[in-house]
Amino acid sequence: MAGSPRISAAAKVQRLLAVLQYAAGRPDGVAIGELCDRFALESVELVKELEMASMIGADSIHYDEMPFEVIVEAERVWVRLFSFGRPLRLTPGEGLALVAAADALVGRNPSPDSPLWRALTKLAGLLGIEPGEAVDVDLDPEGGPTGRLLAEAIHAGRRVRFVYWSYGRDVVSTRVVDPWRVFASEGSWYLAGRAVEVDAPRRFRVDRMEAVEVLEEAGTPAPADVDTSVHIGERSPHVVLDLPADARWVAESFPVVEARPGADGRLVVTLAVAGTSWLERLLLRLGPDARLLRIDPALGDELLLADAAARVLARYRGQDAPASR
Amino acid sequence: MALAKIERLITLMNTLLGAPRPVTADELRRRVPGYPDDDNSFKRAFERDKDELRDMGVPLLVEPVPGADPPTLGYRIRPSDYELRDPGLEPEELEALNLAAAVIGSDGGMGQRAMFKLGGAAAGREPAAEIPADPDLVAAFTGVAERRPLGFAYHGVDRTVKPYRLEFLRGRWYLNGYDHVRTEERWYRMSRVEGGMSLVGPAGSFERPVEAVPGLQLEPWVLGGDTDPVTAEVWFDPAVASSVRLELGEAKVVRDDEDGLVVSLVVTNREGFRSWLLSFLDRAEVLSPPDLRNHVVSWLTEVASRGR
Repeated sequence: MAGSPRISAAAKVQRLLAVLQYAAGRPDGVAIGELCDRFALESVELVKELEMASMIGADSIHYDEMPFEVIVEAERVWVRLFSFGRPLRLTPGEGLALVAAADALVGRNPSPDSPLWRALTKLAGLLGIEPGEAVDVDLDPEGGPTGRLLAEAIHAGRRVRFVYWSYGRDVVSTRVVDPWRVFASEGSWYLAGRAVEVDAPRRFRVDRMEAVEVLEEAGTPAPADVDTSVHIGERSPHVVLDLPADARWVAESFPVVEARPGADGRLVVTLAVAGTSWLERLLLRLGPDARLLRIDPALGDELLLADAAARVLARYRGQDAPASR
Repeated sequence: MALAKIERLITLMNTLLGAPRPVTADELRRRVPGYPDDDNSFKRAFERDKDELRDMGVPLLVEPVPGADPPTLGYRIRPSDYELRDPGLEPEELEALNLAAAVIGSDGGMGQRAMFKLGGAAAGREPAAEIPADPDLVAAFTGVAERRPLGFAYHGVDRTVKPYRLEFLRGRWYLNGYDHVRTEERWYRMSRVEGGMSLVGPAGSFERPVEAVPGLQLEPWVLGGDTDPVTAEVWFDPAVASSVRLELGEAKVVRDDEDGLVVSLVVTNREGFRSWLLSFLDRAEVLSPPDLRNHVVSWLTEVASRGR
């Protein structure tokens, strides 16, 4: 997510038409500064685009080929439209993006008087769908109470402490973190920040935190570019698995380094692995039909699966009933 | 240069919008400044411009030019096809929609583009969450919105589906619809559609069901299962209790104290249940019923005995 995304020529055309339509609605002209704020444009860029717009059709012999009259003077703009009076209809992709965003925010029980619900209803009418029925987006826009608390700590520039269950290593420990950003990726919420004890940037799943406290101490401020990637790096240790056809979901669910067809419809995949526990879980779930072909010694050896199974079995064969532990 | 391209695209749209008769490519080449002189370069530039216009949503009509000899095709844009119907948004509704589009980002800035068309403002902030786009999502949504059947392959079977509803849950898009091949209503995970989705019928081909479509159930111990429901009690280590509570919701909690968390689940898919349970390693244990407990134990025993 580094830097601002490149804007296509098509998007620039639409933005410029939106600027002109907005300005045309103001008979007394509109200040350049106001347009810059509203459309997130630099003044130099905007003025260049407006001057270009004022030239369109100007050297044509047909007067009617001039779509608009644009006058830029003393930091103000006056626009008259001869064409493009109405905005262009929404594409299905644009309609869906808006409906999805609005649906995510109205939540499960929308109030019929909320402006967003009314907007969604009107938008749905425009697109010919039922609001809340044709598209349903289940995404807590802030990451729940924990996400909100973390956002407050970020806003206040304070350090946080929480109990964290590290899934990849299956370790529960107390972590102290300078929080930088709360974000969602592939359906889960994360905190990006500096882990104080190792003095390095880390990412934490919000739903695996417990007892989150905002501390009195100030945190180190976020760098300009916070890394919000949540995928395991390719340099993590690798394993090679031989999977039955019905375990293809592995290749669909996790980023694979390499996948090739095996014998009898089987699939041979190379995966980068976050930690030994993560691999144990995967192998236990796959069961006897999946074969471990190669394993990085940093993760363990070929007995890893049998050991993990024996450890879980020990719980079932324990003398005590777990509830009395 | 980018500015020259914007100028050319606007001039092109202006020339075609409301043109009384289709305009030929040769005529456009004369009337729209900025095209290259070389014939082949012009053709390539013109094709790219047409793609840009279609990407923006400009309904470009291609028609034979009346009376042309030899017969020639021309282009035009009908204003009634081009223009956005005014949704009549009040200022505060527009503001709310603007905020929603800013908070929830979309791939390719589609939400922002839509807001500009509706008279909204630029986002001015980083989105808090991003809804990922799926390559077939636009086709699926078009099918839902315009009530057009979709054709696609799923689990190796070619299907024709009346699309009713799209749902985004736990980071993934799902489509619900009536499957003509299976003759029943089904959910499809969009990322598992094989080889693309296409619209295979005209708009308004079917009516949506009057009854609301039942929501998608994603719990692994329910999803896709058809065995008789059994109620399972499962114990969790205190270390993972809060994260499990968050996943399952309070209604399933039987007990939560220093000995751990016990929840009650109705299981209809044993394999799904076992897989989910084992993702907790030895931090979870199924307590009852005995039958389900034995199922997990024998699975583990088989796995443990291999490689020894």
